[in-house]
Amino acid sequence: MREVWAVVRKEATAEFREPQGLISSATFGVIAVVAVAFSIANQSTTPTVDAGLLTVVLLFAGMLSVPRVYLAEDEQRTFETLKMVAPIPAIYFGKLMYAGLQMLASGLFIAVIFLALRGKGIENSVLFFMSVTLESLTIAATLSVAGALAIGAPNRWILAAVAGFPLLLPQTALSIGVIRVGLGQGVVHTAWTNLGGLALMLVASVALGHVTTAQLWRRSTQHPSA
Amino acid sequence: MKLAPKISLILAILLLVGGTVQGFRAPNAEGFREPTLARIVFWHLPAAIIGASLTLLSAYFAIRWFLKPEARIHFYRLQATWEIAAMLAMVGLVTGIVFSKAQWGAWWHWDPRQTSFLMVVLLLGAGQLLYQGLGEETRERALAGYSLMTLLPTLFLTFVYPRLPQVQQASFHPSQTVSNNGFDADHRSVLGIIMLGLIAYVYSIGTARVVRAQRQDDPNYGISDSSVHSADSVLPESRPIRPEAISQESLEDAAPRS
Repeated sequence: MREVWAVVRKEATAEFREPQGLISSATFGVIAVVAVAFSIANQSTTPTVDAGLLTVVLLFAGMLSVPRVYLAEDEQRTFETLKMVAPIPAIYFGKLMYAGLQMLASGLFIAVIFLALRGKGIENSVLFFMSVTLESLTIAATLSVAGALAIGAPNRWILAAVAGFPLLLPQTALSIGVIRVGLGQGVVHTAWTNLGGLALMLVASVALGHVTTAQLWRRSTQHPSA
Repeated sequence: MKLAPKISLILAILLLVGGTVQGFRAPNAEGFREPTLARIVFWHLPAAIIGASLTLLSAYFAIRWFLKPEARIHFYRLQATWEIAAMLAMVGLVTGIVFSKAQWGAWWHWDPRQTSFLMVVLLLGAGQLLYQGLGEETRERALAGYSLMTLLPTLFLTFVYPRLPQVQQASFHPSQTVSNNGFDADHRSVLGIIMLGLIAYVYSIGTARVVRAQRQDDPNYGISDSSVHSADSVLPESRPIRPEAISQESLEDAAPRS
């Protein structure tokens, strides 16, 4: 656990030493949510449409910020050094925790701005904020693995997005199912079922990501043709 | 190619041709809006089911390879399974689009099943792009890791999402028509024949793909020599070399650099 915290601290230190990336990601989230809110300004949209738009903004905000935990490291060529000094599970869980915290902060911030710009109240704030929280954490868990998979590729940012987005489509559907009830449309019982599904998806994504990164970064076995 | 894949390829051709001919001879499926064009289901349903099943099977091969990294055959099987799954999923998607136009009047109807299957196709395409976009050292493990990551979305999109009550209510998909009264015994037998034909085809080309990959790794794979019982039991220097394994590039690589 100490090594996991060390990786989290290292991520935070590196990020705040040169905070341009963090500031750009946060600014992108604000611009995206303002652009989306502007596109539906003075329109009577249903809660389902609002839920869809908010989820899409969360996805794009996550796309810009989450894979950075691996891809920025890859660009600076420090990832191999990190693998030498820290155990692989500590790297995975440390980066996951950092990405999760960052995405959670972004997600809640974006949701609050979206609600303010939308100008309508929330029917069920517990469901709404629990869904935003779980969706943000799921985005962090999935897109961080997508970033890890794209390490070394010439166009790694696009590849991480291409690999990560389809993995998130089921979670997106579940999240919209909860947020729309939070905004006042749909059945509360169904929303709780969807929220349970979202939580299970999060746990499974973390577990599968752990297995995947452990295998991805294990020492190479001898290739028969070598 | 070994004997079993050859036999299964011949069997596949016979079953697929026979099934298609039988499909045209079968009576119209009256439970559909356009009974004549409902024959698309004979290819659509088996391709979609086998495509989704192969996606799950590739995750199984990924786990096998992760548990035993030196057994590269599991990766070859994973890769072959992934590629064939992508091909069959595309067949399922395209036939579904044609079916949608014929029966519901629009090429894309946002039917939940249609949409969830599109997501499976996107997953398969993304995995293929990931493999092609990476360097040789990491692409194999990345594809295996990605196929493992797709296990959960595929299970959800194939088995859970279409069965959710709110989704079933919104879906036009004729699952009930097929399973209850829309298809009679003739139609079901055609479906079964084409399903078997596709399974035989998948086995045949999958095995051929695995053998080709093994040959690319080891040029002596499959050579039987009376003096050599097993390729692994001899030193590399004493193994016979296939003529096609000696390329201009390999000769240039072997030449001393000045």
